[in-house]
Amino acid sequence: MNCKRYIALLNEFVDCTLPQDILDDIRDHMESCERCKIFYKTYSLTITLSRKAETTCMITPEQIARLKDILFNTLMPDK
Amino acid sequence: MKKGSLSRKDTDLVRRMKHGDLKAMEEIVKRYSNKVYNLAYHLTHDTSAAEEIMQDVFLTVLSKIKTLENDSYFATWLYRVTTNAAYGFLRKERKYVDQMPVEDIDHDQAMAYDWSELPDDILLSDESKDIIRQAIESLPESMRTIVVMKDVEGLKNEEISEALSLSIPAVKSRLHRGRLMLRDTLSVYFSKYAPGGKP
Repeated sequence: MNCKRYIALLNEFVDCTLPQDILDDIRDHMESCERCKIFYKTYSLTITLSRKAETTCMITPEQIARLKDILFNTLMPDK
Repeated sequence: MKKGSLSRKDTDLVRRMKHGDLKAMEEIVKRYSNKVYNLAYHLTHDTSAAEEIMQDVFLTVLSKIKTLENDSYFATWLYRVTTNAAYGFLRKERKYVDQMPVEDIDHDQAMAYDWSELPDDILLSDESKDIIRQAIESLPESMRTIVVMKDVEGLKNEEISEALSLSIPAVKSRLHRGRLMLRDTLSVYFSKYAPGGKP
């Protein structure tokens, strides 16, 4: 395996969707290529940081109430 | 939004909603409003727009629920409606940035500095988080949507594929390209911490 092929497969390696023989090839390559090992570490951390950087918002009770009002008025416009 | 028992209950709720059951609608709102809001917010980075999109999405659910042929695809359909509404908002606000050619990225030139060893107080500083959010926002739309759905919202490739009407290989390819672009951006940013790096 060369570096270009290694990087092309990194996505599936991280998501654990590769067959065992290719996984072994990737691990072998990582052992022998320091640059690719670092690439894997920073690629994985990029995914982790993407998740942590974006805050999860909880919608407020007021927003829920407004949504329900709109839906209720649409369903029953005369009430 | 996993299939299985939750999905079976969804199916029941959807069936009841099709017959105008208000309680079922309320349960769907309770179950999905936060998810719809978060996806809309992470795609637009605009709280007002996210609320407006959420309202539009549930109004669409009300008006189009009877056209949903397979009730078990409700969640996927909801994601599709949400992403379409977010695209609509971004285009209207001219925040839509078309694809930059990914071939321009020279991965061979990607820096070899191992910033993964940096301490958390640097990796997760407010400044770093801002850089990451901006980098996600700057991705071409087709990649950004998938990165947000997969890496931020935690959806499966199959769910994204169904919601966006893309093949699984297309989802994987765009996700990978998006992640590579983000990694490049972060490598440039964190290189200031490398020995001899410029602060």
